[in-house]
Order: sequence, then C-alpha cells, then structure tokens
Amino acid sequence: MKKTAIILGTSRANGNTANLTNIVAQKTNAVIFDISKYNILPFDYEHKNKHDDFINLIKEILTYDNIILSSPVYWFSPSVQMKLFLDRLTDLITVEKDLGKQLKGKNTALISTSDAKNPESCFEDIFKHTFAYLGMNYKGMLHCACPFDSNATSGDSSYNLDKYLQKISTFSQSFVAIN
Amino acid sequence: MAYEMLVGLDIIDEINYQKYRQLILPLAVKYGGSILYDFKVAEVLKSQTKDKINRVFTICFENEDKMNAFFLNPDYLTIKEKYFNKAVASTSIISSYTKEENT
Repeated sequence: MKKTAIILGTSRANGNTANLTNIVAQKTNAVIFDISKYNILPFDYEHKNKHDDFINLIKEILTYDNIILSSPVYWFSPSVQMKLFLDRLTDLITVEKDLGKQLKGKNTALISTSDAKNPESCFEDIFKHTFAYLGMNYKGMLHCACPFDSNATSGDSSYNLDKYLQKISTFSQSFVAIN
Repeated sequence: MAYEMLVGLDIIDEINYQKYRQLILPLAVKYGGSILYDFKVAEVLKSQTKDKINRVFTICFENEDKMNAFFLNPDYLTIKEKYFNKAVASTSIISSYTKEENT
C-alpha cells in the first residue's frame, strides 16, 4: 500500500485548514507534517540554514508516495508557513539535487480553505507550476469555503465543514484510489 | 555518525499502533529521526527473546543523543502513553549501533 503525507502550512493549529486536513488524513490514512512545528528558515542563497529542519523533513517526506500540500488562502497566496516551505524547495535543485530528483513521479495534490467559494486561479497556479517543474503528478485541489465569522471571539474558532463531507470524501477517495 | 536501533515488537492492536506511528513520525523529524526499514513478520525462525515479534523496523537518528532526547520528549511520552502502550505487548531491542550515514 502506498503512503500519503500531508504538509500543513497554517497559522492556526485548530483552524479551518487544519480541521480539513485532519479529515482528509483520517480518510486517506495520511501522516500530517505541520510546518509550524519545525524550524524552517527562509531560503538563503549561501545555504547557511542547512542545519535547520528542512532537509530532515524532506528526507522523511520522500519516503511517502503521495505528498499533499495544505494551506489557507491569504491574500490570494499560500500562508507564510507554506511559502517558506516552497521557497526552500530551491535547496532541492541546488545543494540537494539528489533529494530533489526523488520528488519526480510522486503524486501530489492541494488542500485549501478561504472565505471564497473558489480561490483566484493565481493561488493554485503557484502550486501547479511548482509541481510541474519538479516532475510531480498533480491530482487537483480540494477547496472548502469557510466564510469569516464576525461573531467569533476565539482564535481557535473554526467553520463547520460538515456540508463539504461529500466533496472531501470524493477527493480522499480519488487519492486512496491511486494508492 | 548516525545512530540506529533494530527493534522487534509484538503488536496486539494495529489501529492504535498505526495512530502512534502517524503521530511520532512528524515529531521524530525534529531530531533527525526516521524509520528506514519496516517489516510485518510472517514467521520467526530464530530469536534471542521469549517475547513474540510480529513487526521489525529500524529507526535511525543523527546521533545517540538525539535519539535519547526524542524518546524523552514530553510530547512523545504522551503519544506513547495514549497509543503505544495499548498497542504493543512487548518490545525487543534487537540491536543498536552507530553507522556512517543516515541512509
């Protein structure tokens, strides 16, 4: 059986994107790697950050067959946590080319949330172009709209995702199907 | 020098053991740790322990200190208490050794 990893990049450990990611992980039997829990420094042209957690994280992720990225949409873009991760992929085409080559042929997909029914195409394009550059097989995006709740007072408040269960199941099933 | 352990387990609850694995692997990354080989055992032909073994794996860290730090991490201990202790009847450390690289 092929294994699935989900790379989660979000500002709220219990927010909408995290909750959606947890549901997909349960359905696909995936392991979640929360970028916020790692010491991943910004890209450095001199690679003085090579002893942070990024390379160890990549080495572990490369043991999985399916690699899903998960991020909320912030200002038409991925979260800063996810952007850090994406920027550091440059390490894999410069100082760690052998690791980068191992991404080729991996199945990948995208999970996202925002207050819009669908995100602007520029959001998904960032990932599609990145996956294509790395030779990964992009299987599509699961997006769930989580409208902003002006009455929420807690930073941990999150939207009820129940109405998306069918959509989530379809996405997860399609990923399970490529196991 | 990387530090590796060869471990045998007697798993009695696959679901809780799988949950344990799903939660500890992301944590192990912070210590440069990873499971490199992992086998479900069909038959034990020879053993130095009386404990049953139905799973064998290697877990490798950047060094022994990091491995020890991982196994003492409070988050790891919480996960172990909640899932591992229900899932595993016995643990056999078959061997531990240093090696040139974490490969």
